[in-house]
Amino acid sequence: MDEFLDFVSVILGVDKESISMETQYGTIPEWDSMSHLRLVAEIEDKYDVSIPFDRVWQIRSLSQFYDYVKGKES
Amino acid sequence: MTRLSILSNVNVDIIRSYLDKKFDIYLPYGYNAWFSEVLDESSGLIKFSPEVIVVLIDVNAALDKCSSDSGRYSVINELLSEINVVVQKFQSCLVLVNTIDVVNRQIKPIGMIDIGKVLEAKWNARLQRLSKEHQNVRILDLKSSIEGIGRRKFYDLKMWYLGNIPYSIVGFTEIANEIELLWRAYFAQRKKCLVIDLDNTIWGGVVGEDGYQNIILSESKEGARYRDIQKRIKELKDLGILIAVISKNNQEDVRQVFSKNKYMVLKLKDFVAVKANWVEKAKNLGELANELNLNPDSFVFLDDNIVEQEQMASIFPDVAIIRIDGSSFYSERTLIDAYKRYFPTLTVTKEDRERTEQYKNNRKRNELVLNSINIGDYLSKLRIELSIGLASQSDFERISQLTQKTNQFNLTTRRYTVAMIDNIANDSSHLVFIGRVRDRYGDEGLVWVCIIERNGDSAIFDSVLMSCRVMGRKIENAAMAYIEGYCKKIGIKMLHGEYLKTSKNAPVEDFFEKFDYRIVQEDEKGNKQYEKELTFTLPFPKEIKLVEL
Repeated sequence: MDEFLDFVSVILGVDKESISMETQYGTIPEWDSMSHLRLVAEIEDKYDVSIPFDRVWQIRSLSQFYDYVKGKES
Repeated sequence: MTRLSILSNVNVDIIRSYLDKKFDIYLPYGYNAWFSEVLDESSGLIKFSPEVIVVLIDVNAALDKCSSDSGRYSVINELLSEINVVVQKFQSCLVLVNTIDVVNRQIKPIGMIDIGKVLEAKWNARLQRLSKEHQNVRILDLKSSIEGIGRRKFYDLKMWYLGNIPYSIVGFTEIANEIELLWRAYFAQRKKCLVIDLDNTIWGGVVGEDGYQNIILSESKEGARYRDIQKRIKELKDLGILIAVISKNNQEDVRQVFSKNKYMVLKLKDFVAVKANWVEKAKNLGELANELNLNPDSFVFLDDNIVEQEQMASIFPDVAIIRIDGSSFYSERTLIDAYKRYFPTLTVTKEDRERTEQYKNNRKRNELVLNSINIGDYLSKLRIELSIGLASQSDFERISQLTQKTNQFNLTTRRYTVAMIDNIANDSSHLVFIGRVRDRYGDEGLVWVCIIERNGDSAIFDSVLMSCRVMGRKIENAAMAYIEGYCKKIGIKMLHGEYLKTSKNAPVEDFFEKFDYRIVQEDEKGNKQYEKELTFTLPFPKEIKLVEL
């Protein structure tokens, strides 16, 4: 989980301390629609998972992304 | 940081994060805004004043709007003419233009030539012409990247439908790497010498134990792996990279392999030096650096032994180290990667091809020094000939290369691209001088460059530089005497000089003092401004023969 937040902070270009699993889409300026798509692409690439097309815009928090990383959702 | 702008008809924003450590990046904002920003003189792009422009066109997005082949042709024609405008407008930038990959997604009859192939051929032909006509236009071979990685991995259709983003993370990473590689190659940021080990590096086995006829090296099968490594090293040498051997071996064993094993691609004469002995490798490298007059950071060290690598790194942390992996069948890859990382090259000049010979001749000159009673005696024995005069078109590439590479004997360290040199040389207020040097041991080629900007009856030295391999032969005395004489003849009365201090150009910090220039200003950083009234001209060193170009 820690490593996941590390990864996300690098992609968003923010301090790790400024985000948590509860961080929501749009609540920090760095997480906008463009970086949202980049998160999808980077997470899929790194963790070898696939986030279904119709779920991409339903993801609102980092914990929802993490569910895919853990393989809870598929 | 270098200012780089990417012009694209699709969303390539992701690539920013792969390049922003090396470049200041500007992407025109807004869908298809790229071309209007090229035309609009007040656009963000023009204000940004880029040094590198990457044209990254996804033709599939553009072709998607067409339903007929003639429509597709005109889309390609339109894009090509837009690219032509970019090339005309940004002549002093490095302009990278991508090759295209037309993906056929339509449902249509099969068994015919795919129109995509025709469009690609048309595009490539135009790019080839552009890159021939313009030194500053280079090709970003997107098509080859896609072929290497495969379309399925390179494209990301999901991202395309979600955000107009055509490529996957793998794709963007590859494009970013290619951009960086071309940029480094264009600005000639490269190492100079590859130092190699022998046993288990360019052949399998240990020659001291197995004998020259039993080492693993052959045309096919297992030994072909090493032969392929040798072929790649030979190619590096042919691009002007010096190669040298540092190996723990008996000299006689090594000589035997080179002269008697018929599978050797590399010959002894390809090497600028062969140090086969039992001395510590770092000590050998230190000696080699001295003999070649190169800094340790100009070397790349190839070895199979991790202990040797660590010893080298502990003594010369600036030496780049690469390892041949004996367990891999694809070891030539190590050389190909090393080429991209340390020695990327866009063009090969005459000086590049003759470099090994030149460095070897230098070692002979060093021996002559030892046999001479004083410097005058040595220089007379060398029979130096300096051909000097104004530069012509065919010299521009080498001049640019020298401005990019020369660090020690360089008064102002101004870096110029070929296009910039072309502009300067064709500007009526500038004079670009070159000097070629030859002596009894061979031709050094173009080694001296001096750029002067004239302003009425005074002139300023914009750049004065010389290849460090001819240092210590009074070439600069002869060249300055000639240039001052030339200036006097065309009516210049006052010369201004400049020394801009860098971490590497200490060897010339008293250059202008030596020629009786007066310091008019000196700042705390060590930069100096000079002037000199041209009343007398300098004496010409009698050991050097002058030929006016």
